[in-house]
Amino acid sequence: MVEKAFFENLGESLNPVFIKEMRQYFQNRRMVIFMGLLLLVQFIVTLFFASAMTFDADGSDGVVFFLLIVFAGAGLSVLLCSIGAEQRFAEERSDKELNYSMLTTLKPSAVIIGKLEGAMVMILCIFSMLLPFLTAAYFMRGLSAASLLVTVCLFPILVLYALAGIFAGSFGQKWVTVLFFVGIFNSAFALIPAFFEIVEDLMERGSIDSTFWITVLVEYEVALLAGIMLFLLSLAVVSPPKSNRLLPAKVYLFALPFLSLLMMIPYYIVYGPSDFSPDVFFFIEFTFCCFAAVVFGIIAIFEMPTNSIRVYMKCPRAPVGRFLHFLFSTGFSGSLILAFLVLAIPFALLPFGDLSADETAYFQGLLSIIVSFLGFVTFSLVLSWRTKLPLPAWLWMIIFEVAGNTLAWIPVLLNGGEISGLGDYVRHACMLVSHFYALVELVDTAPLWAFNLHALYASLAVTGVLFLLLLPAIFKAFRMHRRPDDGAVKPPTKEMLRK
Amino acid sequence: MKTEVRNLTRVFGKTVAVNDISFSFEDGNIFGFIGPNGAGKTTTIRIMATLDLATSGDVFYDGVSATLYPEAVRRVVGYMPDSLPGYKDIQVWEYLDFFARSFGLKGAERTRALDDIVEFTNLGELRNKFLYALSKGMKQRVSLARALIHNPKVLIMDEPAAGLDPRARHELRTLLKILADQKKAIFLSSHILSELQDICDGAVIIEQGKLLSAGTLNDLLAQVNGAPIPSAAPAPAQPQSGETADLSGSDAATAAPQPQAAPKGVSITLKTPRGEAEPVRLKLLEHPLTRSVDLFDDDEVHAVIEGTDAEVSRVVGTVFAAGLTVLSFTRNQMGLEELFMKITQGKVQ
Ligand SMILES: Nc1ncnc2c1ncn2[C@@H]1O[C@H](COP(=O)(O)OP(=O)(O)OP(=O)(O)O)[C@@H](O)[C@H]1O
Ligand SMILES: [Mg+2]
Repeated sequence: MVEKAFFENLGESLNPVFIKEMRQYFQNRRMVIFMGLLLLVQFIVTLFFASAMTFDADGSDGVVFFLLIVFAGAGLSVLLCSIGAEQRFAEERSDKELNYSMLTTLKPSAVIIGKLEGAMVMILCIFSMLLPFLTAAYFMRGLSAASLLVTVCLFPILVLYALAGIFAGSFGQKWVTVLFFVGIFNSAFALIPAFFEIVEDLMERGSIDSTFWITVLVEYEVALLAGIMLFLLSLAVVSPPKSNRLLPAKVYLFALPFLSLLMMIPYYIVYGPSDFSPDVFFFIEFTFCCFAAVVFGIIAIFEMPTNSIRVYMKCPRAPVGRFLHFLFSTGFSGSLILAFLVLAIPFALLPFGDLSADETAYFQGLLSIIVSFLGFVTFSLVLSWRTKLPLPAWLWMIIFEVAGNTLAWIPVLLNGGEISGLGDYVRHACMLVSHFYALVELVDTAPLWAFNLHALYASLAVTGVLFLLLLPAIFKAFRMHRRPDDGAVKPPTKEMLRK
Repeated sequence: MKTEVRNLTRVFGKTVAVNDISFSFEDGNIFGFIGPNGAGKTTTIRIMATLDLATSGDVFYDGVSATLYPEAVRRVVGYMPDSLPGYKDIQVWEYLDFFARSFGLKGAERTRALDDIVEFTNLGELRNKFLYALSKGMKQRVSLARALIHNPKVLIMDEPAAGLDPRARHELRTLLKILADQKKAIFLSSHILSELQDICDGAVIIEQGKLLSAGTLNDLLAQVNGAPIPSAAPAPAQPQSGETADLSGSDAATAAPQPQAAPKGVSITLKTPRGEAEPVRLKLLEHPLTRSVDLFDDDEVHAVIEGTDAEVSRVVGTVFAAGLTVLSFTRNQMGLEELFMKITQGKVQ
């Protein structure tokens, strides 16, 4: 009886969405067939390897087998958990009539957490199905127990993929689904070879050294930080439209450059205080600030200029509180200001960067690209705010990006298709109008450091002017951002909120 | 709980699906929502159920805004759409259980709620069926059970009777009456007006997003049977200055447009041989007591005649006197169906 009560209590405390997900997963015929096939394939592979095994002392049969299984496990987890989560959630969210997140009193966080729990259980299921075969691989030799352990440790990063799927699914829209598939496809190409590389690297070295642990820890931290962001953004999508849906995501994004300092801890531990290089700090801060600024910019172009009373009602009356609320509440003005604020950190750091000239130039190049991106965002907002053409800001942004990327081709075409022969000025102009080209250029070629500072000043000046154009709109939004007189809206009674 | 739709407008691109409509109703009432296809019924209902946002205007439940407090409103509103998803991997009871949990029902309370609702909607035998394997009528019952699982005060249904056979419709009516007796407010759109007429206490009629008429059934019928029929015009005139006409219960009499002391009209139907209805219509029109005459097909004439029974028979007598053939002659009490036809044509007389 006690046990029964225990399980009943457990059942009551579980997330309703999680329970539903589990029931659906295990009653889904496709799912069951899929799991069965996975087991069967592994069994056949094991049999094949077992029959061909040579039992040499240094035999490496296990390695191939191991890689095959890791490949299958990683690939399938990505496919099943992220695409599965995306598909099901998108289907539910696009159901115009029976979207439970809009019909019941489930909190948006409960919906996302339930989905995530479901995906994690599926990852666990697939993983535990792989485990016996991984053990078999170990006994076939060629593998160290440590390398098995590390691979096992790397698996939870796949949860990130599930979160990405949940985020994409939360929109419940076809075009996001298409984007998601493109993204999954591309990243799978990057992920799987990376996985192989790690494992192969391990096999060659035979043991795990400190660099390896840094890689694993940093990977975990990046996954965690990115995961939280995806979670908060999904939450924003699922929350009721008139609520202050972006507040948690914005606060988190603003805190991200500071949270990212945690990433230095593994380096510090491994290298010790004497060998620890501040370059690591410089690098991490730079990357995270630029990343946060870009995300703020993207959020801004999708936001409405004004808010609902529901948001204003929570606004503090004191001036400082009111301004902070204005900054972090849903509304493009806050996002844009935050983007520039976050970007001020790397600008302030730039003179202190004790790096070789090449690296400083690299960061200058990166900064100029981010600033020019924010310039695009600002101009899109100006146009959507000021012109008679009823185009939303994000559409302007797309128009600019397409135009910029087309423009960037012209010098290359004039040069007979060659990038390398282009002058520095031309390349920099291309980098500023085409952000995709800029990223490729930054990664692929040696930074054009002699010129970067000029590009940075140029993009700063242009973006500054654009920002001035937007100031009236921002001031207007701030004037409206005020708590209405009490009693303007009738809040629900206790009786109504009662279950 | 008072449900109040206030100056609701919903625009899709260039289409004004709902155009500044206002009405209200209260506990224990069944209100019908009537309008031709594309009138904006589903749009209005979805906004009332917090599934969509109004372009302007709002819906209030005891004064609480559905736009600003959707979470609170969802506790008191049950919404039954005209479709149920056909999930292949979830059973009826699991589906209901999920919604019960989602509304925060726990333990014994949830079990009781589930048992009650399964019994009420007679789903006992379907408990373990998968959703996709249900017939239309079964789905409709599951949908109703789902909408009622959290014991809402207001039940909003979009064409619940569509696709049901006569027996199922009869059962639905019985269930709705029981729910109304439990002091729930029920708001349902339907095309089957003869059915609505039996159970509704009032109706809201819209066309092309505009409110044409709203009130208790008696008032509405009195309008067509006697008083001048409101054209499309009075809709905006009714709920000005944010104050809505209260159309429910006893208040309705004061708020709805009062019929003038005009004499009651009598609605009659004359059946003629095929193709001979038109001369009958013309003959009736000649008479000064005739208020309106409509042709239905080419063998049926509907007319509203003003005056006492004796006067009516005198008017009909002119048809016989003119030597026209009349196969049958009935005096009808004008029902919702006629009301609908007349009002939504907009251009009566
Ligand atoms: N999501 C939408 N996007 C664009 N237009 C819409 C949308 N939903 C409804 N409409 C338009 O709004 C109008 C009203 O549609 P609605 O579905 O509310 O009518 P209805 O009264 O429910 O009709 P029916 O009796 O056929 O169910 C129609 O002209 C329809 O085309
Ligand atoms: Mg409809």
